[in-house]
Amino acid sequence: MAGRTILITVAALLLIATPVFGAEKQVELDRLKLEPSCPEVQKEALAYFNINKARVNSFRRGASLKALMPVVEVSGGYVDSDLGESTWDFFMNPDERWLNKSAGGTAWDARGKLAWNLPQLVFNAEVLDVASLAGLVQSVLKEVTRLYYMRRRLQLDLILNPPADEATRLTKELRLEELTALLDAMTGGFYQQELVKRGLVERAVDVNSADPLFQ
Amino acid sequence: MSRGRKSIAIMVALLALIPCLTNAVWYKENLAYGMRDAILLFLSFAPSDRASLYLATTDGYVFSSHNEGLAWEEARIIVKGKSFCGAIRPTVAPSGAPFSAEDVLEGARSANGASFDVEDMLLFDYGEMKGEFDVFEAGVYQKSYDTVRLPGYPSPGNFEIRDKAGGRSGGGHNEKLGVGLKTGAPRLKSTLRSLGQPSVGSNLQQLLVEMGVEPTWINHVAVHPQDAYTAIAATSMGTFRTTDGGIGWLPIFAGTDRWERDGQHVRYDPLDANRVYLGTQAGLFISTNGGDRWDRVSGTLLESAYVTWIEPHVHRDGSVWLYVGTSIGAFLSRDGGLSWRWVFYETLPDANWISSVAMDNSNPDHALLSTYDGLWITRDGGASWETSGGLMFTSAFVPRVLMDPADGQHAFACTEKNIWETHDDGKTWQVIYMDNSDWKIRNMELDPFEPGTLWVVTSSQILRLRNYRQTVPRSARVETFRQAMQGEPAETVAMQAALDNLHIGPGEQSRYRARVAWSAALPEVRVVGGYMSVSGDAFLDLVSLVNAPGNSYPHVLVRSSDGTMGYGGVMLFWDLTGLVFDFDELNVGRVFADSLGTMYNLKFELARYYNERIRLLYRLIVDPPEDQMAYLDASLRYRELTEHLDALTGGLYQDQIAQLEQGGATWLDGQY
Repeated sequence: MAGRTILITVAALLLIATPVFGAEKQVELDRLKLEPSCPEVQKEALAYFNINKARVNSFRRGASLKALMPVVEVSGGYVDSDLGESTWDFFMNPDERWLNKSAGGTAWDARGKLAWNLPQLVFNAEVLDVASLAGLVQSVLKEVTRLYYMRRRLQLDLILNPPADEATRLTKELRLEELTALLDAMTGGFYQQELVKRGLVERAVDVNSADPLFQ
Repeated sequence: MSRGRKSIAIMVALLALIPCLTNAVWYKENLAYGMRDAILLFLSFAPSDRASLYLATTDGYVFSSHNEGLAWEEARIIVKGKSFCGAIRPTVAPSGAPFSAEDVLEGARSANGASFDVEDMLLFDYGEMKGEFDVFEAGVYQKSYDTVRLPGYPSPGNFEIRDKAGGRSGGGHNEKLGVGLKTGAPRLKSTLRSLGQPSVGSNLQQLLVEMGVEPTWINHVAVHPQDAYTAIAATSMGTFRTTDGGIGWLPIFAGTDRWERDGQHVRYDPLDANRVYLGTQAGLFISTNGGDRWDRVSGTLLESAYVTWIEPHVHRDGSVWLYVGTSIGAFLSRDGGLSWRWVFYETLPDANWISSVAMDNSNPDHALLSTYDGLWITRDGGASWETSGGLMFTSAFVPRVLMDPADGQHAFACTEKNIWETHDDGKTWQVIYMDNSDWKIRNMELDPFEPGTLWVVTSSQILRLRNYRQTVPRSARVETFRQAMQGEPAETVAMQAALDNLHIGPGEQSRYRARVAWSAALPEVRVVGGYMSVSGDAFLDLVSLVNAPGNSYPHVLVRSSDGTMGYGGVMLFWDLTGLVFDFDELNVGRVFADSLGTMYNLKFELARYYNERIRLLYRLIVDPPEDQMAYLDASLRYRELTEHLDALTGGLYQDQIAQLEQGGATWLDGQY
């Protein structure tokens, strides 16, 4: 209850301090709210890099339980052997062999091996190895959050301080596109698709298209 | 002299040597608390905007703030290669197939079940048939063979179940890829060759390191005199420029070799913003078009000197004086860099290595040099020099010296742990600040907008020292802030949540490692089973008999043999030595080092975000910026930090995010 009171007080105070914009700018600002939120983008980026929490937990669980499965080896072989020997006795009969000897045979075998490393059920160093993904998680979060808010600042800047000259406007718009593309790349295409889905841009860039840029 | 008097005399002498602490009180404020992603190096102010600051580091990062250090943006001019995530270390391979079933087969072999020799089938009982052969060949003496084993004839085959696989341990695919091996990476090598890529030393770890980009030192940042969002950074990997306040940096000068590329110091001309001075390891360069093109200063030793510092100054006659510190002393130009004079050179190399230069605002003939061997002062335009501070700075590295722009007698110098001040032109120096952190003092700057404020950069802190106490606002808003803080998680709680979320807390890892001893109680289980089938025939034909008229037998002697065999076995192995000691229980090795590194990074990053967010919360509640953009910028940063912290801590800031969504204020409500 006390927390709610504080929250309302804080909110009220900030409301007083809230800047007021013109109606036209406010429309543009409200439009920004339709874009994917930062937590959504973070989530998609982690999923795209295959390091979201569920996946990492799955890696860890897999590493700790993998010893339940045996290592299997199946092997087999087939041998076919045939040999013969002829002896000629030219003294007795030069026209005909005297003695023929021959031997041959076949053999096959099939074998299976199974091995369980049960100690790994108790401890498997690979469980600890999964922790090395933490650095990647940290980096991806940092990068995607930074990009997201860098882009958002630029958007606000363009809305609230529209450039007076064409060159500056183009430069800033180019930068905005660059940041959008980076976010898109970090999320495996999610960002653009969402912008299209929410009617904020016309079409998404298809990274699987025949465009050589994406090959 | 009595012993007591002698002791007193010695104590007095020692006290005289120890610098007295100044009477003035300096109040310290750390604006980079937790900003420890990198080693901080240098702070630069924007001459045109008191809110804009740039911070150089040794790790490729440039931090920029446009609200007086309240919140910092981070940019990376050079990205440091991340450590490889994956199994570099060939872990102890899971035992199992291929393992040897030789022990099982040995039993079968001893019972004649596991081998079948075709050649043996030809070992007819020849000797005992000798007489009968004689009958077949009546009238002719025919010496029989002892056996029919064919001399020199290749073996017809020994059908035998063999198992030589062995239970080899190793990295499996890792090993094949060369991961974790210092030499030998056959598969990776062949893959690289097939792709037409060089495969020399194709150890994967090495390859990744080589592919990564080297981190660089950002040695100095100079901010445009009129545009706070334009700045030039001199780095060890070239010179870069930003035009958007430090978010993006583009290279503008790479030099022709590594020495030219290594920019040490950069300064804008105080009168002409298009004129920029760049000091490199191989000479001084001047640009006259804002950094797009650089020309080397020639006709002087500065042409190739290792430049460490550039100090421009506008003389009262309108000319620009330039002091340039190098590794071979100091140079002075009184005409904006057109002509140069070598004004300072000492016999001791350390004294020649200039770390900074300070000039008297009212008298450019009056200057101070800080060196690796103390402080030097000139009062006659460099014609003569003397040490400043007597023996106090002798043999001491002085990273920076500053002169009060309003008073040439008043100066500051820093050593690695102390900040010193003089009010009498360097005759006496007093310590005004002693840093008791683990970090070194790297540099300092006088606040150009706030006299009496000194900014000190240590490896991990940005300290704002004021010789007056700022009044703390006492209002209901401060009380609101205090109450709001009660709902905030403590820094240690946030830290633990992040470590738990990423599973890299040393406690969790140690607990798991402790299990390794008990793992030895379980056996490795190996099961093998197989089936073999063999058949063979041998024939002996005395041609004269077989072909004899009336004979209906195709052969004289025939031997047929066949057989089948199934076999199986179970093997259990206990490595009981692990019950006593197992290496994996130790917190060592790559996994541990990685975790430790990640943990430290996370700790520093989280501390930085945490404290920056609290500062922003304070500002937004107690002293919200009146400027519309500044307010939005601060609130946006607050939101960014909250969401980042929430992601790192696995949802610890869900309440705060929910408040952001449900709050009544725009900055709480919006997506911006």
